[in-house]
Amino acid sequence: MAFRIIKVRRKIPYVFAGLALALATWNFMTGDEKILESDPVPELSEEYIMDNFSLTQFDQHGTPIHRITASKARSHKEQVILSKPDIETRVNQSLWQITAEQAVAVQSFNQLTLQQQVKLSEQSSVNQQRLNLSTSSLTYWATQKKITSDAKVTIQDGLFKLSGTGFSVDLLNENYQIDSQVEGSKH
Amino acid sequence: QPAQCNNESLTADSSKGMRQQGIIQHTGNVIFCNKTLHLAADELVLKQTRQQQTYTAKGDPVVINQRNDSFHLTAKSDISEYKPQQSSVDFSGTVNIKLINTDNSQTAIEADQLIYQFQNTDTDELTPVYFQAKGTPAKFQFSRQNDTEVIASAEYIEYSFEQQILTLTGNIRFSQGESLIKAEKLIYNVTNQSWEVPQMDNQRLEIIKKPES
Repeated sequence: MAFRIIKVRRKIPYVFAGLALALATWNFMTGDEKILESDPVPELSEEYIMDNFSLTQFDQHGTPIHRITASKARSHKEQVILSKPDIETRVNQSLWQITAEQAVAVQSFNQLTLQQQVKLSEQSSVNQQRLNLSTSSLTYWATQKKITSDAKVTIQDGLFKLSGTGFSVDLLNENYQIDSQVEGSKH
Repeated sequence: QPAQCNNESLTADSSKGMRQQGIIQHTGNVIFCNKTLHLAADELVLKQTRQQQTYTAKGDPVVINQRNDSFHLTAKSDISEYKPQQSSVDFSGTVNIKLINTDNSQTAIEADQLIYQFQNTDTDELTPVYFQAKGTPAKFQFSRQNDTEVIASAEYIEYSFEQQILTLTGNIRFSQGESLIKAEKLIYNVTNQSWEVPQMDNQRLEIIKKPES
């Protein structure tokens, strides 16, 4: 009988070692999964990058709203970031063009904020006096055919050059407004 | 001292461009100047057509200054309409204009409406040409050193700088020194201080000599 007890005593350390090994393996296995949970496998986060981006949007009547091109377009969550954007939109007898270094488009390109060396020009088949505008940033509202900004602006309207701070442009009526600190000269 | 400036320039609180109408409207503390005049107003609207530009100013009042080496003109009115191509300014609403010459002669007119024609000769020499004023009545005043002052009122007043002739028409009162003349038409020569009442039907001429004080 005594002999059997000794045998059992001798096996106890091995049993514990086995248990410890099993536990360590289990930890190793489950531990990874925990790590994985906190950092899930990156699903496709709807981020895409396109070169030579070009988009033309139409309204419900099939009339083109605008044409937007860019050297690069990168979508990020709800926004699309455009490099060297170029927006063209025809309103009544006028072709308006806006270019910049960068733009951020939201609401399915209904609202675009353009930044850095922003230039707006209007070529009107009726009004011979071309309009040129330059600023550091502006927001283009496609469906409202409106442009707004708080930034400093310079506008060349035919012979007259105006500068000021804060402005808006109504593409439909071909009106522009400079909100404050206006300085003008004739060239 | 408000004065002209070589390059046309302007400052304002805000501006609005209405391209379909060919209009640029400047609002609030508007200061405009070019080679011809200096203008201060509450509002200035530039209207452009192919042939002409018109600057219409409104103010409380609009103040226009024009000067060069030989004269200084100051004009105040509710409204002024400046036409650069025609070298003219039409004033309306409480018009008060004063022109001082280097010979210290001074011409002043108060009227409801006044057209001021000047000339930008090739030599860029700014020269007043004439005033045409209308009022109920319009008032005229002329003074020059060593001359008797002339004070007149009439419904129409025309003063030609070139000929130095003052023409008064309608309900005239012309006062020079001791005499007061009432007539329907009178022509006064500023250079030689002579006046003439031309023959007119049914014209009543009244000359009142005030006793020498």
